[in-house]
Amino acid sequence: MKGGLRQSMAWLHTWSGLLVGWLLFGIFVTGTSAYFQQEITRWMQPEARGQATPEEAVHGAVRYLEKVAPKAQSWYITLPGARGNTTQLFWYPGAGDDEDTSAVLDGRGERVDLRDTQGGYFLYRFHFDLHYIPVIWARWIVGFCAMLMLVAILSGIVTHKKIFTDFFTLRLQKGQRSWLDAHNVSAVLGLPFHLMITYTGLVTLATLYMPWGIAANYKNPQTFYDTLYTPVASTERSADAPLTDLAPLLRRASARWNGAQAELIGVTLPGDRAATVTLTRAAADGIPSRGETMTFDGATGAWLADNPPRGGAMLTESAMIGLHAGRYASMPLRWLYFFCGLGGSAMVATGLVLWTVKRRQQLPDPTRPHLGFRLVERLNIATVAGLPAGIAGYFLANRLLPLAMAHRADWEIHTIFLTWGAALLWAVCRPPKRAWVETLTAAATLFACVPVVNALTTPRNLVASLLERDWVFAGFDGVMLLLAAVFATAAWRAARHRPRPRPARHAAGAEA
Amino acid sequence: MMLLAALLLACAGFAALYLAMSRHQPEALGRRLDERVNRRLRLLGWTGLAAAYLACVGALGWARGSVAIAGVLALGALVVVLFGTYRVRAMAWLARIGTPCALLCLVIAALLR
Amino acid sequence: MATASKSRTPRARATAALDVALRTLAATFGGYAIAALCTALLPRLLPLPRNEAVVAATLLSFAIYATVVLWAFATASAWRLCGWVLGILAVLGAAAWLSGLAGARL
Repeated sequence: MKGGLRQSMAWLHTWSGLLVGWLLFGIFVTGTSAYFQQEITRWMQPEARGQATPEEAVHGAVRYLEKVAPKAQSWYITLPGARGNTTQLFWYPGAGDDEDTSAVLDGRGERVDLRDTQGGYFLYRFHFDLHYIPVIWARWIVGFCAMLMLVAILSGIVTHKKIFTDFFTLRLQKGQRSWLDAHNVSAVLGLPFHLMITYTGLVTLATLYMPWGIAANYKNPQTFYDTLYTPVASTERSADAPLTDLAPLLRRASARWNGAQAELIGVTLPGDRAATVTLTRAAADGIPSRGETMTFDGATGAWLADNPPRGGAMLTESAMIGLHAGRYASMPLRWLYFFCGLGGSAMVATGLVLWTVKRRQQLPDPTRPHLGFRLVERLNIATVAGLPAGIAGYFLANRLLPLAMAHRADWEIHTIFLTWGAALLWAVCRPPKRAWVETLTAAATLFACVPVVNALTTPRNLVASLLERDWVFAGFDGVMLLLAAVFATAAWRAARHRPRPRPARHAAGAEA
Repeated sequence: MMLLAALLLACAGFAALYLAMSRHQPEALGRRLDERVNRRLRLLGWTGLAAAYLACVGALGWARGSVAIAGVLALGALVVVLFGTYRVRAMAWLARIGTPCALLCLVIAALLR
Repeated sequence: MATASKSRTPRARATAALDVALRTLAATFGGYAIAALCTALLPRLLPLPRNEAVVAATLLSFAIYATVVLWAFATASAWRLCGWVLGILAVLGAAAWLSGLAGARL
């Protein structure tokens, strides 16, 4: 392109970033929340309390499943790790029992009646599956966004002239200059994280986006996938035999994996002589996301097989996905991930705002901007203030919707999009500056309401949580208050903001 | 505790690097330092960052520590940026106080073990 | 670039639009096709077990794609870019076709 490398890269950075910026903001925000997926779910299911040991949990789970689905094709038991307090059950029914296929148990193995909610899981899924559209489209759209994100990051690095001299620079009260500094600071400080998260994000769905390596080298893709997992021995029932005690198997696996715990237990043909038990290493105990597995004979408890050996490339892939999802991260590291995710969201948001700030000055008549400018401006307001407001609405709906409501979990989710839509409508109808102030204020108010409504509708209010040292609940309420403060500050600054008269702007430009 | 030490070391390291840049010196220190001092500050800064990495590794092991350092550096640099924006006069104080505090954290971490 | 185009004549603006359109097409579709063919071919060249080589090539594919996109917008002439992309695709495609004839699939 004309004007040299830096200018063409700046052009590419601007437009690739703008094209997907709004969706990218949503992906970043919900993805960031997913680092606390289990904690969010715990907050959204205040009925579940207490902790469980793995052995109690596994005994309770087997007791329950033998009662409810004794002849199932397979059972899957997810044990409560260090961060959860419930055991998740899932089963493929065999002949005869097909009413329910999942349940949640508490520490003692009793079924808990939880409010109908998707909890943190919905935000995690929205992060790559979006909502209201077929999953496969959503994943291609998200992949497209991620690819443009990668391009925007790389072209942004080339564009940024003074990456080292401006490293620490954040100039306030200088209009466009301040937005540029804020965008640079959030991008440059988090650069290793941004690059890692974008590339590994593409890798998580690599076989969807790039199936050609498999297609061109295997006649049947299944041949490839079979090299990844231990094949299932038998799917036909032969003769009844009681299932072996699973607790000793957990201990053996743990000893084999240098103390790492098993998290997922798969049982095929439970109650049959041909039963197998497959244990998968907990995600918290190693960076690679495809945990090691051990397979045992379900009747005798004898060891059958380990997972197929993994070479360097497979381990790299597994570690990249593990790095992305951060399931291995302990609490301090998890907070660092969360902080970096917020930094990424801030980078996208400041980039979007910068686009309008930069162009407003070049408009022929700033009071009557052209359609494209108005569109970007309104979408920015609706996204940057509206989506967080929607998430706050999601948490409020979790506490306020009647527990017996039909399709309750769906309505919690609709609340996000209703709030988001309302913000968009507001942004379209009001003058832009007022719309910023009002939607930011609304977001702040909604976040501030979350701990209050929690205190009014459950006994687990912030004070009680602090006294009980319940850090999940206390932390959740605390983060809500912090977010409320952030949005309130933003609203206050937007309200105080006076656009600079033209001469002053030129002075600032000359100085920069 | 070790991670907190890493964060403090990163803050001190970045503060030293900040002060080593002559464009920041009139505001932060009221005078310009000569090039020899700058070079020494830069060396100190990079040493601080390297020590922060070692503290991360000490806290979480090589694999996790290498991930954590990215977050710790981002957070440490953000602290220095905020100091530079709002309390630039305190930058020298941050550079001086960071390392002793980090050492204190390391001692506490060792005692807790 | 976008700002400068406002002051230009309609003819110059049309040329600029065509230039951007060509680059975008070459980057989006040409880049994906190049990355896809590289992913298909690389496993046959890498001295690794088949499944390992496939995974390694798939991991690399996004880096290849991103490189092509950046190149598409950095290079001087959009027309020459299209020529290069088509040429690379022809070579890679022929290689894939030939190695397919040679029975490279398991």
